[in-house]
Amino acid sequence: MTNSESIRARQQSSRRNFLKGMGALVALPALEAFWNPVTALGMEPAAGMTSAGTPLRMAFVTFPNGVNYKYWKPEGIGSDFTLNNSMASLNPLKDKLQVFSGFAADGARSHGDGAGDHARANAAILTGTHPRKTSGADISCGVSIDQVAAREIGHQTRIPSLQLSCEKSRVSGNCDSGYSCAYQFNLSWASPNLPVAAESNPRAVFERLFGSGSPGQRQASYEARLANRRSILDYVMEDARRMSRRVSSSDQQKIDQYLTSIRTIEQQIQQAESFPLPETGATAPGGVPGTYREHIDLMFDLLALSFETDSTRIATFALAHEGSGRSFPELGISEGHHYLSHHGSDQAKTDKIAKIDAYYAERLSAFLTKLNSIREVDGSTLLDNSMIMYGCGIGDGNRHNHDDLPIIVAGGAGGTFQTGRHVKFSKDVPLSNLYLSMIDRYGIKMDRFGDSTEVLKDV
Amino acid sequence: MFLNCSRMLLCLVAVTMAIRATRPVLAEETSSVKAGAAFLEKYCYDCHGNGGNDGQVALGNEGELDKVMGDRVLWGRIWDNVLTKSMPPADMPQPSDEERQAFSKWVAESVYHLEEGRPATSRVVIRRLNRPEYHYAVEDLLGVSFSVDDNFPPDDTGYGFDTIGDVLTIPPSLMEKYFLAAEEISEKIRESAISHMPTINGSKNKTDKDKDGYSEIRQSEYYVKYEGDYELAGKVEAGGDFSPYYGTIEIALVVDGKDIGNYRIDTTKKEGDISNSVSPVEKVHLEKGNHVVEIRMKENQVPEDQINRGEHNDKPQIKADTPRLKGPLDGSHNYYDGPFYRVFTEGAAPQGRDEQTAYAGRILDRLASRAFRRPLTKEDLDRLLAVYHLARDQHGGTFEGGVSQGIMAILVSPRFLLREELGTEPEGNVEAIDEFSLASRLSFFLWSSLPDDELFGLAKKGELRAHLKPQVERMIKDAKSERFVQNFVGQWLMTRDVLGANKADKEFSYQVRQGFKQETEMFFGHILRENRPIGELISADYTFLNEPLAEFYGINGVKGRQMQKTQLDPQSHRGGLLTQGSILMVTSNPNRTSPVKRGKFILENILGTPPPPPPELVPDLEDAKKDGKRPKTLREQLAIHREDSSCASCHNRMDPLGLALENFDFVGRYREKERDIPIDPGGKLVSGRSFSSLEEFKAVIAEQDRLFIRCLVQKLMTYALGRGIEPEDNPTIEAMVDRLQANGSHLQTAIEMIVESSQFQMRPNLSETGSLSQAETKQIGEVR
Repeated sequence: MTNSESIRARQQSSRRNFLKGMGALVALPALEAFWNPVTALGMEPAAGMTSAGTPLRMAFVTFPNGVNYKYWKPEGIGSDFTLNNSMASLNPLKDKLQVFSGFAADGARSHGDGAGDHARANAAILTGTHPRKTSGADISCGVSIDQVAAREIGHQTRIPSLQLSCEKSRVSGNCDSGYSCAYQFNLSWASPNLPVAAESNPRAVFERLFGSGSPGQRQASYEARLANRRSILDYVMEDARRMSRRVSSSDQQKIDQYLTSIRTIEQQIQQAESFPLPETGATAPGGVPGTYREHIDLMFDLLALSFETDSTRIATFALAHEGSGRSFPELGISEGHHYLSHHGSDQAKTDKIAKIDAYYAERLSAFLTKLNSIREVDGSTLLDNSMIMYGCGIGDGNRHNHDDLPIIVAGGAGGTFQTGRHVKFSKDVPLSNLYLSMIDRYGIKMDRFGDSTEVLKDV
Repeated sequence: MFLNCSRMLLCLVAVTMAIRATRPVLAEETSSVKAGAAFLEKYCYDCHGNGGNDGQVALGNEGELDKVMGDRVLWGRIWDNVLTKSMPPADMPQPSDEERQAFSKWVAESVYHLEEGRPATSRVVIRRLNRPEYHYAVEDLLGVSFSVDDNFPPDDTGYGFDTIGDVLTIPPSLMEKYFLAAEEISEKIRESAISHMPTINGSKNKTDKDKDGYSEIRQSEYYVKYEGDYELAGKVEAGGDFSPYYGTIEIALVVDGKDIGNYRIDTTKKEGDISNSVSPVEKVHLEKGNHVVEIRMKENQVPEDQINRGEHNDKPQIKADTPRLKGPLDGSHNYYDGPFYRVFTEGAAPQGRDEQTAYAGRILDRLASRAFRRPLTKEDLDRLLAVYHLARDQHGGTFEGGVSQGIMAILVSPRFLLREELGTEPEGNVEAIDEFSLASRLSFFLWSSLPDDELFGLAKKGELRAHLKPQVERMIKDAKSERFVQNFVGQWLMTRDVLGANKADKEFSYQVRQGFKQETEMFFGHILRENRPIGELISADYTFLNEPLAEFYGINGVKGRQMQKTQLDPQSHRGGLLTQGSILMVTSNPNRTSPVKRGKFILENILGTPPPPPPELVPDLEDAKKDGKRPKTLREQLAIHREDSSCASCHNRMDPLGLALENFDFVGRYREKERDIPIDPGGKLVSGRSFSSLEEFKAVIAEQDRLFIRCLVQKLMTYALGRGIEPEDNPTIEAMVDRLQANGSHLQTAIEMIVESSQFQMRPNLSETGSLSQAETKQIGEVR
């Protein structure tokens, strides 16, 4: 066995061990005890819950570089539709999802800013905003929809929202056409100038969910850690306040970021008692697995676990950053994804794009299947009580169009989504309209978000 | 040559302060507008004036220049294009060098109101430590190596670097990571205060079989430095697949010929109840000097017919470990882990509470002032000691626990994580940053870390500014400057991407990748430390190779894994950055070269004349067809692509540069043919300069020395200042390039000039905010 093979084998087995541990041994904290269906009582569901009284989850999963429409677009409209080749793996779940044709991300369009469609698409997809073109100074985007939701209902779980990605590192040098790399690598934005970096190391995600150390000691070490933190909060906050009095207004923003972040830590400490760490017999996964596929699956496993344990209800997951030039040796594709996406209608290239589209959809399918196998206390499945958006801010990589985006919304949102349909709009509908109706399910009433025009009704 | 700039700069500051920058009056402005207008009308208006807006540069109607005088961005572009001779296009009348210089001077004065000799600077947003800086700061401060790559998310970058204040944000998720990191690091510090008893290793180990009536004797020698009681621990094991009822093994532990303990392994017991190992631990008094320890073993086999052979047929295999010797047991010579000495500089904790508090105060004062890069006030220290007491005074609290809690507070303080800079007395539009801020800028620039004792000491005495040149020299000589090489080159020339880049080539080994990265870094490091001319980066006839890399390049005569300076033959086709594998591979696709990427790389990072971004709707580049036929080579594809006028203006600049390097494949291997078609590296630059071979091309690039030097200075400044280059910086940069070229263009000198520049030493006057209140200044000035 060569060295790299043995590493791979080890990593695979570590994922298997990890998987073996989860599922059976996960204890659902508090849920069963507090389960209290409200529909029977004729009440409005609590924010963040379904009417059946189970938590409502929301995730945004993105992939880069658009799709090959030919193998992506379903045939037929409404509930009488057939999934195309690229989505074939989703067939068993067809009645639990909706495929949309006709969403647009206007913020990703150039609006006179020239090239940079990948950076803009990445920045715009969850913010509905047109990012300011800058290589570094004064970055400005919009608050992303997951962060809007996290602000309102994030306090109901121990982790307000989770950001995941499979990008271990960044390319050096400049990013897309004069846009700061911040745009191209971050999906979540807490404020217009504060992107929320995603976590790519499965082990770190695990420790955030379940604490560190051996299974029996995690809660104790978590509490000790929080107590420890409490003792230095006053000190660092005073440092920040003093610094804040000294610095200029442009630096003030940085200090504010610091203070906001410190307050988040403070909140965690305060909430620790109401949210004990969930218990799991699973051992923490190692580092980043050797293959991309393993990495994606492991991150999806952790996402499922975080939903199952109600550690968080809101997440984003970038399978790869927009414009990614990753090659796919597993599929026998040695060219970079981005390069292939400029296919010029060359069939060899479009075929490979379709293969990559199918590859990503298969990973999604595995994740959704897992969610669908997790039973909630009322007999529904976790997928039934979720809103999982899967999509890309570019339609066809060759054209860099930001309309007719490939978008799937999986899950029933607690029985409020009309699943099992292919919805086709006759004209552009802002993706932000969908977001308004997603957060509406959380009881968050917002008139506008990004470039929205109205709350999407047909979902 | 190094001008005595520190003094010169101080004079400049003084002059500025006296002048008090005032805006010129309007009448003067009007007449000066005319001076620049003449140049523009002569060379630019055909395409950019009177309604023309080629490349979206529109100067408006003749005689109405004042309408666009306020557009900083527009003038920045004009300035760049004129200075780098990118404009006017080669087929148009060209201004003389003097005309270009005069025009750029006019832009500086009339558009940006920069008077000659007046220090220029612009805002630097407060910078957060990036990943490498955090790592090195913790290492230098505490002696703990913390893996930032595994624990922190990648830093966002701007202008090609990860030192840019604007994009180094602190989202809550990162703050959480800072807490986790501080916990891990302070825990290591706390643990480092647990002393360890010395272990003495045995030497001259030997084994004798069947000697003096023993079946086996294991012997080792120990040298004891201090007389005292020691603990001797051994282990003997009967292993293997032996049968029970084999017999007994008698074991004796012998020191200097004297029995100190006897033990036995008995295999005659029932199966499952066999004791097959002994681990004796004995106390022994030893004098200073050499001691011989033996384990003597005697096997007493039961008669053969009594052995229950069963399925096992083997004799037991006796395995004796070399005994461990630990002591002296009274702890009189215990020692501590490495980080301990960085923190507990006066040794272990004293007995009394008050003494402990005083010691903790000295430790935290020193560490915090170094971590925060400036002295602590009395009040700062008291607050830190309050953190110490919270941990120390709780039930079960210890001195070390209190100190490590204080360290944790330091590591998550904004004063550590954010590089706050303070000004001196503001005068006019600018103010010099104070000496501590200067020490910090210097050490983060060249060491990616905190100032060391010497820099801090000079800043404390207020003498750093006066000793900059020797300090820069010292810092570059120091091994820590390797961090600068790795971080700067890693991003400027993208060597950071070499190890991870996707490549579809099985022959391309990890070893070669590592070689690529090291080659470029060592090459740059050599030119830096030897203060060689900057142009040598392009034209050198030597490089750094080891055997695997040389083999990959097809160069003979390099032996061993060690990278070594190697003289290059012209036949090797190597020499200079443009022929190094690292750059050739990171500018290629996973399975083929990309002349466009290579061309763009040279324009952006070597010549400093980046092409504008491509138009929004990019026509297919690499699938260009002519008369319905696919062209055979990339060169032909690109040629067809350039026929589209919207592509031509930029691709005419990029493509010839990239195609000139086609002799190197996508992993940097030299080749003469691609798919049996001979490669033609020849081409013509937009300047009209043509070349027919790789060697001629390198010569053409080497001729662009001024552009290359200017580009490198800009990149160094961006990295050092943590902000993009502003138009206002251009006169400084031009003056630096002039001085560099007049004096041999040495790389280290370029760094010295940047350090001496007003951009590096000053900041805009921030009036009310941005400097300490009087009370605070007084406190900080107070040296305890």
